[in-house]
Amino acid sequence: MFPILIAAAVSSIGIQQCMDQLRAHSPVSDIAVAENLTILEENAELALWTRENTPWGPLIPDSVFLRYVLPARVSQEPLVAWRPVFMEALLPVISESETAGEAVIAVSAWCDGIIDYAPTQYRDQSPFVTWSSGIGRCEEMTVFFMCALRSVGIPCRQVYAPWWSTVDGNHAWPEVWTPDGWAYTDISSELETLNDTWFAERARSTALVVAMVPDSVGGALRYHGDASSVNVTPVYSATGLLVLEDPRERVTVSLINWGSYRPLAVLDSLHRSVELGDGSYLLTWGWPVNSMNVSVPAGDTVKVRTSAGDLPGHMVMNLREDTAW
Amino acid sequence: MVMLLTALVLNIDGILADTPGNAGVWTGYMENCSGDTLECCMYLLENIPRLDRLEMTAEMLDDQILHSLPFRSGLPDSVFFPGLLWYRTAEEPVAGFRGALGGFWDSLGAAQPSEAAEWARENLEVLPRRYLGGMQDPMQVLESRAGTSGEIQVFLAASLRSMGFPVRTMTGWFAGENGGEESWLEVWENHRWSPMREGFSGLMLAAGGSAGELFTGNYTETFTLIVEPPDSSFGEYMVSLNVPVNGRYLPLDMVLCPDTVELGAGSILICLTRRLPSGAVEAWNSRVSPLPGDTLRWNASDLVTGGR
Repeated sequence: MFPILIAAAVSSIGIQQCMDQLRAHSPVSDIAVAENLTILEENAELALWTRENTPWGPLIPDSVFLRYVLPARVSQEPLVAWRPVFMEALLPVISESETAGEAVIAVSAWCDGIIDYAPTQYRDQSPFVTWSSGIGRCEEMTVFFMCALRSVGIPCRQVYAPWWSTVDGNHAWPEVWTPDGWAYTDISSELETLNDTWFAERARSTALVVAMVPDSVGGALRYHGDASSVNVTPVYSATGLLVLEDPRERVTVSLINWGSYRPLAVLDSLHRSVELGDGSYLLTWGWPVNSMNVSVPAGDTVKVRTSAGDLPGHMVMNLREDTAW
Repeated sequence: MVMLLTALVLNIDGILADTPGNAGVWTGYMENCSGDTLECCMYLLENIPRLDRLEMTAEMLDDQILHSLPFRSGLPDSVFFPGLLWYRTAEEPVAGFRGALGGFWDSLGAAQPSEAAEWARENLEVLPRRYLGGMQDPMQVLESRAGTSGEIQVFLAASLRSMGFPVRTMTGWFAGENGGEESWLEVWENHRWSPMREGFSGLMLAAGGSAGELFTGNYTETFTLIVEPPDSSFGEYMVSLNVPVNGRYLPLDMVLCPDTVELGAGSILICLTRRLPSGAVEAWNSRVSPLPGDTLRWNASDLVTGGR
């Protein structure tokens, strides 16, 4: 099937270890129902198959495989047996690809031929519904794309900008792991390289980019009991470090998007600092609500203490102070 | 009348065309029913979300419709269709539940909303909300005897509908140190909607029902806010209303850029913003604290002139 098959076995991970990982990081309803357990077992067997039968499979470290190839879920979509169906469609698509990077570009173009962006509904649809109806919003397109990538053994994770800095709105997309590290991508038939998508420019000025890791990760912005929100902003934009010096208060860091103050992160005694894209932010805390504007230049560490303050009547936010406006 | 029917059929045709892969379930069901059952099926087809149309099965339609119709007598259509036949509470998956849940409550001898609510409080474990996976459907909550607070609310609403009580979901935005966004159920009893929740102090905005209408005035004393926009030379702008809660301002996105809106009588932060060519945002913040019954004209141009 592939021009070069690398047969080197690099891991002793077997079905049991895969199932342990899935059990530990799946919703209760996935592992309490026999039918769902069957889906998870088949999912694990096929994921292991891709590791042994693709040129990039043997290059993937165990920890990366378990977190980013094996999972049967991306976010809140229903659990369905997507892996065998996507494998059947996608293995021919990447049959000429010699590297994971080449395969990502081929898979992206394949997805672009199947689905288009369209607003749908709040509830996430399954990758099968996205496929059969040909549309999805950006999170649903990311789920679909990630199923396609994982079906051919490419490690990937969901990433999102909760709020852009320079335009109203937000976006979700996948990051893929190659032996060169993590890179971002999106569905397009015109991709030539990784790290080059339609949103690259707004990502370079963005305040915060979060990766969802289906595991407990040290230093995460937040652990949700099954997955962690990890700050990956430095991959995208020049960042500074905002440090809370008196963590008695729980401080919300916001920017303005869609006309209101939108929370990005919370600083407290457990999370005393956050890396943010170069820009200005609103900090709020306490009751009655206190507030403070703070500028976080790239490369700087900005230490703040909470002291009583009120919202100014007029201000310019989101971009750094010396930006001409 | 003929024109109305034609318009309805055209509308249904359009909806079926936007139900790829599952239109056959709907057409097959409608071909094999008539009267009240057909009316219910057409109401659902026209009003439920697109994803629900794609996931619906004939068995689910049977469960929802045939177990609703025995309770239709005596209910106004404006209550029966969006309150009793309507099966959705939040973002749970589409599932049949009425036959099974009705049987469950019969077996316990429970027939009143308060009995169902008490049983849920005493028998269902409240789980923390996690990231992966969607909501459980009502039968999954019953089988596992556990759910997030949102899933338990879905279970309770489904239970009341199975007992024959129309239900609608309300969402409220509350100001204050313990404020935030909360949702609760309203149940139709004795010819009126009654909230299954007590205490509405700090409520600034309430919205709900299947169409997301505003109901603030049903719960609390209100004032009327009239927003007078900046003149055209100001360019594109947004006016947002924000409620102070512990540690931050909570946006009332339901009423972004309002002309006139009825709000709970309390302190509101009004933000006028515009996006600059650089991508930065220029913002003017102002607070208003009107009294109940007030009509407040908020003039954006005054704020811009005074703030620069």
